[in-house]
Amino acid sequence: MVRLSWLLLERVRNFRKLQTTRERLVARNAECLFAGDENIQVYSKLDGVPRLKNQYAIRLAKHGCPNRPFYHIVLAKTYDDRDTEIEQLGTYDPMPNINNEKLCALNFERIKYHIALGAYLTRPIRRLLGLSGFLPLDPTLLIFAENLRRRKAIEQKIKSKESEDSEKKTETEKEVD
Amino acid sequence: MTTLLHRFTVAKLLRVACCRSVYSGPEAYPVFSRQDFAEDDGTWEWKKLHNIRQRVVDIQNGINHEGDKKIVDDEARKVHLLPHKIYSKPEEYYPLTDVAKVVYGNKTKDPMPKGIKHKMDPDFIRPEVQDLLKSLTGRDPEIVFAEQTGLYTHMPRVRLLTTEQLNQEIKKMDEKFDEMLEMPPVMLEREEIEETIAFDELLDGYEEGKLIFTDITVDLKPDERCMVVREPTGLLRRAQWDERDRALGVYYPKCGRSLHKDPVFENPQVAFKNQFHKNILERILVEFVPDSKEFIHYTQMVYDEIDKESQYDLLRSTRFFGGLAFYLAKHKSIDGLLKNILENKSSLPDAADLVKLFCLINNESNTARNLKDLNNCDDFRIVQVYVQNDATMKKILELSLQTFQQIPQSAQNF
Repeated sequence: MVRLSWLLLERVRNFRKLQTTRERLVARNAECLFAGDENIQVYSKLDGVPRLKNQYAIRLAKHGCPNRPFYHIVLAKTYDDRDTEIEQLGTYDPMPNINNEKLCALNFERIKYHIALGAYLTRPIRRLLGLSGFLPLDPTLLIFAENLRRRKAIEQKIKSKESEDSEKKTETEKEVD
Repeated sequence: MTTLLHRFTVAKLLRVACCRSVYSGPEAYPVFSRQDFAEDDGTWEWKKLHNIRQRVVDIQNGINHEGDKKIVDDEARKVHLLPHKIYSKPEEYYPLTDVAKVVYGNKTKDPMPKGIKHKMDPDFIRPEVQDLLKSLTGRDPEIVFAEQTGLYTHMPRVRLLTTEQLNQEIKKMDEKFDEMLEMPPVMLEREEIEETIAFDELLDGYEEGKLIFTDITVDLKPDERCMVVREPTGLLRRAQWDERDRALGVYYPKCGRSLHKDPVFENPQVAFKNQFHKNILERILVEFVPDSKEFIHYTQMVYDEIDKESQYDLLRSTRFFGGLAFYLAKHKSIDGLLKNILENKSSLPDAADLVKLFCLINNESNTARNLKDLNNCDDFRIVQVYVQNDATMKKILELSLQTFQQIPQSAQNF
C-alpha cells in the first residue's frame, strides 16, 4: 500500500527520469516538421550538417605513444572522455608499414546496428566508411583531394620557373665568358 | 504491584492472541497480490493509453471512429520517441528472443568472387593411389614415435596384460600411426583475385599509400571475410591473396606463422648440408596454405634436392614421403627411387608398388599399355617392363634387377 502512494506522487509532480534519446540527421530546411515537440532540440555545428541532440557517437579514440598515434574506432557518449568506450568497433593505423599500407579494421555488423539506432558519425569515420565502400563518399574528402592537386600544380610551376631561370643564368655566364 | 503484573500478563496474552495459532483460519492475515489490483483500470493516464492502443488496433484492422485523424497526427509526431514501431500488445514488446537470429541474422557474409574454390589434385584423391602411397612410406615406430625436441616425454610404464588387452593396445597404436602419418594435401595452385568494385577519379592523389579494410565480424571463416583495398588513384578493389594472408596474420594470428618471410626458404643450402629437410617441410606446412604458390614452389625445391642426392631415407616413414613419391611419379623421374629400393632396401613388392603408381598417374605411357592386368603379373615382371620401356638409367637398373632374378633359381637347386 505504501508503494502506490509513492508512484502517485511521482506522476503528480511530473518527475521525469533520465530518458534515452536517439538522434538522426535531418535535411537543411526540414526542422519545421519537429517544431511542435518539446523533447527535440536542433542545432548545427561547423560542418554545416544540422544534427539532433545526441548521446551515442562513433569516433576515434587515440592510443599509442608520443610521435606514434594509433586509433581505436569506438562507440561512446559525447560527454565522456576521448579514450573511454562502450564498445570497440575497430582500429585505424595512420602510419604506413613496410609495404606502404595503412591498415583499418571495421566491424560492419555492429556499425550497422548502431547507425540504425541513431549514432552520430564524426568526420574521420565518415571518410573511412566512404573509402571502404560501405557508405557513399564524404564531400569533405573530395574537396581536400582537389585542393591538394591544385597545390601540387602550383608547386610544379614554381619549380619549372626556377629551373628555367637557372638555365638562363648559366647561358648568360657562358656568353660573358 | 499486582496491577502491574496484571498489565504485563495481559500484554503477553494479547501478543499470543495476535500471533498465528494452530486454530487460526485462512483469513487471519489477508495477502494482497498484483492480481487483486489488475481489475482496476488505474489512473486516467493508463486509461488514455489503453484507449489509444485499442484505436490503433482498430485502424490497422480497418475500423474507423471519430477523432482518428488527431490520434494519427499525434502518434506520427511521436515516432522519434517510440522504439521502432507501435506496439498493440505486450507480447510484441517483450518478444521471445531467438539468439541465433539476433547474433547471426545481420552477418556480412561475403562469398569469394567468381566462385573461386580450393581444388585438390584429382590424381591424389584416388583411393588406389592413397593405398599405394601409404604402403610405400612404411611404419617404423622408432622413427614415427621418436623424441621431438621441445615436447614433453613421459616416463615408460610396465603393465601385465592379457592377449585381448594386448590386441586392444595394438589397435590404439595403429590409429596413432595413421594420425602421425597423415599426408599433407597436394592441391592445384589458387587463381589470383582481380575484381574492381569502383573507380573514383576525383580522389586522385588524396594520399600516398594504400588503405586496406578488413571485416572484423565474429564467427566468419577466413574465406568469407571481406577485404578491400583503396589505392591512391581512387580505385576500390578486392585484396589479393598476399594482402589477405597478411591481414589475417595481423588480426587473427596462428601459432607458428609469421608475417615476414624467412630467408631460409630462398637460401636453404646450409640447412640441406645438415640434413634438415624434414624440418623445412614441417615449417612450410605451418606457415603457408597448401593452395599457395610458395608452398608448392618450396616443397618441390626440397623434393628436387632429395632426388639429386638420393637421400630418400630422411623422409621414409614420415608424413612427407607420399608427397615425394607423387611428385616424382607425376614428373616421370622415378629412377633414383627405384634404385634406392632395389639396392638399399632390397624389397621387390615396394618397387612394384612404385611402378603401379606410375601407371595409375600416367595412363598413356608404354608401361601402362603393356601392363593392363597388373594383379596377374609378378612383381619382377612389372619392374622389368618398366625398365625396358620408360627408364633413363637402364643399365644400372638391370644390374640391380639381376640380383632378384638369381635368388629363386638358386633356391630351386636346393
